[in-house]
Amino acid sequence: MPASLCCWVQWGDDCVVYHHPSGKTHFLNAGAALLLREVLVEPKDSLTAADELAGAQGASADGRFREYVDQMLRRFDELGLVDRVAT
Amino acid sequence: MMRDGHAVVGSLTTEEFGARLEGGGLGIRVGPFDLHLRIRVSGLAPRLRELYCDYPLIDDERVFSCRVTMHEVRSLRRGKASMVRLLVDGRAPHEDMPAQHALAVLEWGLNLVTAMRHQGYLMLHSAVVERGGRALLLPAAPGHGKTTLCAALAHRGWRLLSDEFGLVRPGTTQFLPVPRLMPLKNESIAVIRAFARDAVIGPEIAGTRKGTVAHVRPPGDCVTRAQESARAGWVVFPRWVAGASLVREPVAKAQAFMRLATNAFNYEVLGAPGFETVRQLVQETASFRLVYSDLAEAVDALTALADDLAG
Repeated sequence: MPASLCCWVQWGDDCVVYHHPSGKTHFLNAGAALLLREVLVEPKDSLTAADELAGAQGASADGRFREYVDQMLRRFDELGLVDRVAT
Repeated sequence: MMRDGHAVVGSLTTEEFGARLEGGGLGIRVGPFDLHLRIRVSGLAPRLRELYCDYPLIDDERVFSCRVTMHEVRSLRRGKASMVRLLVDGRAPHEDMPAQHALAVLEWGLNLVTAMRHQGYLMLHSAVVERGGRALLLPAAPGHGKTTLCAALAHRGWRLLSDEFGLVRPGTTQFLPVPRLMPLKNESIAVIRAFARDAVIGPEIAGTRKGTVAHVRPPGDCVTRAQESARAGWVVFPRWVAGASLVREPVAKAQAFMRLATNAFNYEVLGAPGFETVRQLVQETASFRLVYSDLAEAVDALTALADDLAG
């Protein structure tokens, strides 16, 4: 789903996203906003997204963090913010 | 008495006003809206004349925002209370209501029309008052004391834009006045009577779905200046809590955004322009939450906030 389908505004660590197709507005924390931006720019699997998100924050992804990212992506999918594709 | 080239309601005698209201109806300008009212309810005309005395009368040769009629409906059942039927452009938006609640029914009906019809504006669920050229928004859920605080401010040097509708054209932060009667509920009626002894308050209407209701007439200046918009200066989320000490603290901008957007009448209807307008509004204003129990203390705190900016 192209990034242009969302409008963003960021204040400090908080982000508000307007999603054009659904007309819904979402409040995201900094980590969730970064993850959403990354997967909208380039489709990727959950593990890659977790590793890149951890790297962007100067950390490494452990199992718990990867699970958190996976849950977050599933939630984005439920909200219609991203499209899940078969690999 | 004339206003912007128009006679005002108060320039008509009670008899003239009643004859026009019950006859062919009459046009009244309320901010950006031209309303046509035709009302045949026993005893209501003198009360409406008193509460609407400062509003400009407009002629019938125009397209009105809406045509509102209300008339009594006779019941064939003995002992059943007399009812009134409200029609907006010929259609009834809800069931008939008790005739003794007619004034409240009319005001609720006008609110309904405003909320449903005017989707070209972003309509925040918020009181709006102005001081020093800047608008203070008071968005709040029902029961948080929004109208009471708004009525108090309107009688302490703030100009009322609206006690209910934060009306702004998408892409701007200029708020448009819709100065309407302010409906006080239950204990708030005595609070405002004591706080603002000069306030003109209509009859107490008991037993409505919201309890006892009484309407405060907007101070004349608010109606006179109903064509003057005001740029947003502050967003304050008020909450009256019995016995609470005054608290005024900043609200993070993203939180303020979500609270404004989710509390609007038509944010989602407008789509991206609604998002952009709320973003601009939050970006350009300071946001606070205000908890209070003492009305005078709350009014002083908000006035100090405005005067700090002016000074």
